[in-house]
Amino acid sequence: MRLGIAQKLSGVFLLGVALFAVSISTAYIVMGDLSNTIDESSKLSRKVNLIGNLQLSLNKLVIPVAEYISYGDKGERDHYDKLIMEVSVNLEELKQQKGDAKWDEVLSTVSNDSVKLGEMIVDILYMDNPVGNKAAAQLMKKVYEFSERVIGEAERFHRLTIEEMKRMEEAAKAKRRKANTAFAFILIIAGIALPLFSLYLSRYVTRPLLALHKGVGAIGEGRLDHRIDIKTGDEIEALAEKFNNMAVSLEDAKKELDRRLLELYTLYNVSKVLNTTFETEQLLVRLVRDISKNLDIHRVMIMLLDERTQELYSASFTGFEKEGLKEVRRKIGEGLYGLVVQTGTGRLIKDVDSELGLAKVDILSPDIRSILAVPFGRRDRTLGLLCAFKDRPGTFEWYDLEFFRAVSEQVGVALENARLYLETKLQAITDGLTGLYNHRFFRERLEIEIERTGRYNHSLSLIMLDVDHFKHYNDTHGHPRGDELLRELADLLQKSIRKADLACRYGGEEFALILPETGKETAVSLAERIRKAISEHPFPFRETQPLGTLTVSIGVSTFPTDNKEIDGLIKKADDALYRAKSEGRNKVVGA
Amino acid sequence: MKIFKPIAALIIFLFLSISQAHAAEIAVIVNASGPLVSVSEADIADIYLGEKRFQDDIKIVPLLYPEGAAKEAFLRETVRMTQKEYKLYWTKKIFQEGTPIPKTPASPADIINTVKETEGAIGFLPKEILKDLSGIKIIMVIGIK
Repeated sequence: MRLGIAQKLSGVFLLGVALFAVSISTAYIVMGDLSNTIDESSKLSRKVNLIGNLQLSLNKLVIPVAEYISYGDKGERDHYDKLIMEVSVNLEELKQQKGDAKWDEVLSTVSNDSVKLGEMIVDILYMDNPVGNKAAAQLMKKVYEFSERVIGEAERFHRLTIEEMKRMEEAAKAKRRKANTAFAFILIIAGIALPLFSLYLSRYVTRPLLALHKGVGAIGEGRLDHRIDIKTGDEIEALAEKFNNMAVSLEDAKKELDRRLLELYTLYNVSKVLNTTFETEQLLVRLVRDISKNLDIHRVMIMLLDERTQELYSASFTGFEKEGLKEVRRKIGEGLYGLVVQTGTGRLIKDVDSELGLAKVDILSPDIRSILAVPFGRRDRTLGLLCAFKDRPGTFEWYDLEFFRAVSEQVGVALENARLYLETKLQAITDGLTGLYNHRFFRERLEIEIERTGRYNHSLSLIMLDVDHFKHYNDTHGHPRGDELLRELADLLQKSIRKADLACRYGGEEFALILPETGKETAVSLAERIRKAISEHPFPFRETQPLGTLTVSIGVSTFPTDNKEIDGLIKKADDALYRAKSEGRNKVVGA
Repeated sequence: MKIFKPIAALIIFLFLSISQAHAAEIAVIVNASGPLVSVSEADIADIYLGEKRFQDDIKIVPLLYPEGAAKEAFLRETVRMTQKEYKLYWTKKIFQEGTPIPKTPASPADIINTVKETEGAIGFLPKEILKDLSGIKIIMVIGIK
C-alpha cells in the first residue's frame, strides 16, 4: 500500500490519539467507578449515622419513664412527645435510604416495635403515683427489656449495612482489578506501540528527511554525482527522485558546459596558433599538436590539396608513431578523404566496423574505430582536410563534428593568410617580372652570407651578369618582348644555379648571383657554363642581336680574397664585368 | 438532659400556677388573617388528629398546651380523647403515617407569637393570658370543668 507522507503522519498521529483516547476513556471509567464508590461510601456512612441516631433516640425514650417513676413529674409526658417524634424522624430518614427486602423488613419490625414501646411507656407515664410503685417498677423493667430488644432490632440495620459495605468492597476490588488490567494492557500496548511509532516515523519520516537534507546539501555543494537513496513510497521519495533528476540534468549541463569550455579554449589556442604562425609548415605542425593535446585526441592529421596534381597529401600528423605512417596520398573523389574534399562536406564515422563502403586503406590503423574528416578552405576552394581518429567507437559526437567545422574554418583562414603572408613576403623580396630576388633582398642576403661565411672562414663568390645589347633588343622588338626575354633568361639562370645559390635581378638587365661556399675557380667555371648556356639558348629574335645570338657579360669576385666588404666585393665584380664588356662582350672575367 | 429537666420543670410549674390560679376558660386562637379563621369544630378535631394538614394550600401548624387541665379540657371538647388516649393515638400515628405530632411550645408567649406570625397556626391557652389580641382571632372558647 503506497501511503503518502501526510497519510503516514496522520496515521501515526491518529494511532497515537487513539491510544490516548483509550487511556483517557479507561481512566474516565475508572474515575467514574471511583466516584460511585465514594458516593456509595458516603451513603453507607450516612446510613450508619442514621442507624446510630435511631438507636440513640430509642435509648432516650426510656428516660422520661425513669424520671417519672423517680420523681412523678408529669412534665415528662410532654418530654415524651419530643422523644417519640425524634425516633419517628430517624426512622423516616432510614426509610428513605434505599434498601432491599431485608432492610424494609427491619424497618417494619422496628417501626412496629417502637409503637409498642411507646405504648408501654405511655402506660407508665399516665399511672397515678408512680413513685415507689412496685407495679410501675416492674413495668419499667419490661420497658427496659423491650427497649433493648428494639435497639437490638435496629442493630440489624448495622449488620445489613456492613454486608452492603462488604459487597461494595468486593465490587470496588473487582473494579480496581479490571482497571489495573486495563491499564496494564494499555501500558503494554503503549510500550510496544510507541517504540514502533518512533521506529516508523524515524524510518519513514525522520531518516528520509535527513537523507534528503544531506543529499540536497551535497548536490547544492556541487557534488552532482550524488544520488539520494530513499525508498519510502511517498512524496519524500518522489521529491528525492526529482532532486536526483535535477542532479542528473545539472551533471549533464555541467558536462556540456565543460565540453564547450574546452572547445572554446581549444579554439582560442588554435586561433592563437593560427594567427601567430605565418609559416605554413610550422602552422600545420603546431595545429595537429595543439588539437591533439587540448582535445585529448591521440591521432590528428591535416591533409593539403596540391593544386598542380589535384592530389591530397598528408601535410602533418601526430599519433601515428606506432604505425610508422609516412604519407597518405589520395586523389580527389578517391575514398573517404577524396570524397570529403570533393563534396566539401565533413564526415563523421562513429564506428568503422558498421560503416558500409569504407575502404580499409582509409582506416589508417587497425586500432582506429572512429573517424572525423572535415574540409577546410577559402570561398569555394577546398585547401585540405582536418582529420581526427579515435580508438573507441561512438566516441565522436555531433558536437565534435561541429567543433571541427569551426576549427577547419579557422584553419582555412589561417592557411590563406599564410599564403598571403608568403606572397607578401615574397613580393617584398622578389622581382615582379622575373620572379628572382630583388635588389634589396640581394644586398640583405649578401650581407648575411658574407657574415656567415666570414664566421666559418669559408669563401663566397659573387657573379654579376649583364645582357649584351639589351637596349638594341628592346628598341627593335619592343619593351614587352624585352620583358619576356628577361623572364626567359631568369628561368634559365634559376635552372643553371645550384640549390644553395641565389639568383637576383640587380638592375634593368643586370643580374647578380650569390654563390655561398664557393671559391673563385668554381665560380668562374660556373659563370662560364652559364655564359655558354645563354648564348646557345633559343631566345626569340636572338638572331637580330649584333653578336648574332643573345649574350651576356659576366664579372666574378670572391670573398674574402677580392674584398672583405659587401660594397667592395660588388665593386670588384662590377669592375670585372666592365672589363668583360670592354673586352668584347660574351665573356667571363674574374676580379 | 440534665439542663433540660430543671428548666422544663420551672416552666411547667409557671404554667400550672398561672393556669390553675385563674383557670376558667380556654381560648382557641388562630391567625387573624389566616385560612383558619372560619374553621369548624370538626375541622379542629381533624387538625389535632393529623387528618387535616392544609387549608387553602397553607400548611396548618397545630400547637398544644403542656399537660394539664387546659389540655385535658381542650382534648375532651375537640377530639374527645383523654391525654393518654391522645398520646397513644399519636404514638401509633407517627410510626404508621409519619405525620408529626403537634408541637408543644415552651411558653404561652410562644404560642401567641407563633399564631401571630404563622398563617396556618392554631393553638389554645387559658383565656386570661391573652392580653393583646392583635393579629389573633379567638375562634372557640372552652370552659374548664
